[in-house]
Amino acid sequence: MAIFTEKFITAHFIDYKKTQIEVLYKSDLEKTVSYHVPVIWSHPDLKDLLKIVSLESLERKWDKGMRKAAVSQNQVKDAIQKRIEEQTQPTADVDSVIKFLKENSKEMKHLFPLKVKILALPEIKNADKKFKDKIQKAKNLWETIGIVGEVFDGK
Amino acid sequence: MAFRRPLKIVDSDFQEMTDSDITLLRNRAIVNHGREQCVRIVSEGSTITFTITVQNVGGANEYFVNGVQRPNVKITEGSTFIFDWSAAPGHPVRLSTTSDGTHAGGVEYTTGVTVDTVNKKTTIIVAAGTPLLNYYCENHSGMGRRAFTTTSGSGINELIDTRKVGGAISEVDSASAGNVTTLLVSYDRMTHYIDNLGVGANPVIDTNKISYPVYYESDGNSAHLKIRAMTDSDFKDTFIRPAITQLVNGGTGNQNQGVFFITQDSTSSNLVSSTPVFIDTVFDVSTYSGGDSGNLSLPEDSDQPLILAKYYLAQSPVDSSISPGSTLPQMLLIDSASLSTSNPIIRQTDSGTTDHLLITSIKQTSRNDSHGYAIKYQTDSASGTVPGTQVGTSIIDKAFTNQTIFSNNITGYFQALPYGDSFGANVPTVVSTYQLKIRKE
Repeated sequence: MAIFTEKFITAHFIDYKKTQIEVLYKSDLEKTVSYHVPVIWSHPDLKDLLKIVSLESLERKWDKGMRKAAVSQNQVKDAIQKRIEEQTQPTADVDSVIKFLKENSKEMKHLFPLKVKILALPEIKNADKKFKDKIQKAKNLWETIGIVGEVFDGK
Repeated sequence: MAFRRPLKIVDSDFQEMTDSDITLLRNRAIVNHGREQCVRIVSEGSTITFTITVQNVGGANEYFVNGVQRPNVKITEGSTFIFDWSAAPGHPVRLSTTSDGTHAGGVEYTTGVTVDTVNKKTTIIVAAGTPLLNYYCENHSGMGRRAFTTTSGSGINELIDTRKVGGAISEVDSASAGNVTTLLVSYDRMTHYIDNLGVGANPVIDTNKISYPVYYESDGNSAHLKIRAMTDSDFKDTFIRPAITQLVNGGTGNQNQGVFFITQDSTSSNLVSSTPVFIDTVFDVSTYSGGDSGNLSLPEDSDQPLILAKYYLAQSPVDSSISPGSTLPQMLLIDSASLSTSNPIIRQTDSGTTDHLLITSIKQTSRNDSHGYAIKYQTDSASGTVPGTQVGTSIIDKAFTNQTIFSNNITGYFQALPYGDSFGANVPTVVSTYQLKIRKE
């Protein structure tokens, strides 16, 4: 007896080649759970499933289910992309910046090019020499960025 | 606990390894993560092979599974497990609910089991509800142990597909139909799985504190220069933890070997299983667009979903070319046999020893590390609170926000239209997005 035998809700093919069947059953926690049964005739779960639903019934459902989607795939993709961008972009940017700074603050291979780029900024070029000296002597990324902040804040 | 730069021999002299040497060794740890990982995901429909060998232990033959002596093994419902005993053809593997099977009065368990005596393989398709089993040798007693049956889905958050289900149509001619309801379908098909089988299963025992490579210890005074062996933690800080940081950065390329991710590409050679871990559906409107009264093409039942996308579990493949095991930089070790002499010897490691240290260390660290470098997978919504880096495609769960079935009772024509769809184009609302995340903890 398969786990879904006494809690069976429904079943249907999920691929064009009809090699896989999705079985929905009610779990002990009263959740509707998806379980996969491969169409392998010797598979014990398939044998149990076919005691509950007939192959003909699965076939009929599949034929009806194969109608074309009423939804444009591009519309779906656009909607999804928009949603993901809304949800992830600000957080991902902030997280990645903080992560990078934490992990690479003292890495010379990042510190040096950052200083070069910063010193080339017009605001820094026109700033007091003491700021440029401080930037050149800064020992890590955090310190460097802090000095840039001072310049931008007009301190 | 610190980064140490191991020594090597160059022109008959000791020199500290270069950054590129260390990168090669870290890359080898990454390759080993792909080859012999300890933390993985088993998904419904996976096929996993246990390589069976036999060794004489204390005068009695015992099975070794993936190189480990008589371990308890886990077999997961919905997956297929192959016991490959071709290297031990005189010891066919059988399964039984009784420990030691027929040797202890039990009977062989055969449900879903096939024994291929030509290729020497015993395969079990683990059906739901399979009892706790034991593997044993058909010919000899005392060789096997337990095969724990576990349900798929634990340790990784389940994924929920929101489906709209049409209400029952009570009278066709008068076009009376129940409201559309929401069905939440739970996909709990992935298990965060930790085992301790295979090469590197047993941790390095560093009793004499000389198991790891040596480095120069300096207090700045060249007269005080010492050569010391790295500790286990030094070794991890130098090679393994940086490799794990690389592995969990969210990529799926050759710097992330063995890392699991989600893909929609059903033809990818990297799929762990052809069984999708999530199926994204919407309500099939057309199922309810019938026809004229009396000739309606009504569905047999109302919950056949329209499948928009299937998502599969995949794994970044092994690519040894980034650091072949045969050409690893040779570190230096203190020879244990010389410890008791007045002149301890320092010798070069061979590639095999180096590889073994790397493989053992990354297995142990990724499985359980007290410094926050154990690898953990979890699914979460895109805006959720589970830390980690997204690996692979987002899984989308969507449905029409609301939908009702109504009829034109003049023509008797059934239609289903989304309710409140401002686009007027049946575009499903994205209810939530899920991501498979990898992190170190």
